Amino acid sequence: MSAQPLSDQAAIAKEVVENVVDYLDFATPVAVDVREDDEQISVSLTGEEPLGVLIGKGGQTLNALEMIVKEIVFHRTGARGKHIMLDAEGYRARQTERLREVARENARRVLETGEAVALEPMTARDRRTAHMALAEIEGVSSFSVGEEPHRHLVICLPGQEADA
Amino acid sequence: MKELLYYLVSSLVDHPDAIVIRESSGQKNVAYMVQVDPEDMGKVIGKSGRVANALRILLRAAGGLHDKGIWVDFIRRPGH
Repeated sequence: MSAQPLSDQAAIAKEVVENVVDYLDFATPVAVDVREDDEQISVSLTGEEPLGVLIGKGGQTLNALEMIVKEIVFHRTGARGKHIMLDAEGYRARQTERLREVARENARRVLETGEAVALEPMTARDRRTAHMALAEIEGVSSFSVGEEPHRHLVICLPGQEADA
Repeated sequence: MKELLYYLVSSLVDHPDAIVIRESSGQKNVAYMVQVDPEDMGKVIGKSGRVANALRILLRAAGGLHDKGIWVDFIRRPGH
């Protein structure tokens, strides 16, 4: 926990998440922990019971709540300010690790076969994580194709982008 | 559920007094019709409907906790 008092932005984010959790009326207490540095506000939820309902398929409920919190903070402070990140039960970190693994595995396939591979559709946030993981792997290239919600990554050899 | 929806919508708009939420429930489903001041429509809908969709996703998740299907529609409040 930071010794610094929370900024208005962080205090509002915390208040909104706590209120939503109250309305959801979980059987056991859910803790809302807020950390803030110069660039980012991280709001983490942990509960005694599983919080899967707040995470949703592919993190969609977590992303939805995060977006609503950002909009309310913006509405009340009049500024976008710091980046706000919402997590529940360490889902974001696990998801990043999963995406990096998927990226590495498929990059290996592309390097072995020389053929482009299309990944499953993902959210913009997950695509960015996957692109970043692939940028660290030598000899492969990646780009996104398709329209939401079907937009997905294609991994290929450099120079194959036009054929895929 | 309606309280959660009202709380979120009222936190997003400039004219919370203009909000009217109509609820129609069936056995398995609940539909909410949310009316807001015309000036606030953009705030609850968002760019490409992103805020409205986020509200729907969150409410559906909340409905799942109570085994209910949730529908949310947003309309301009007439005569306001």
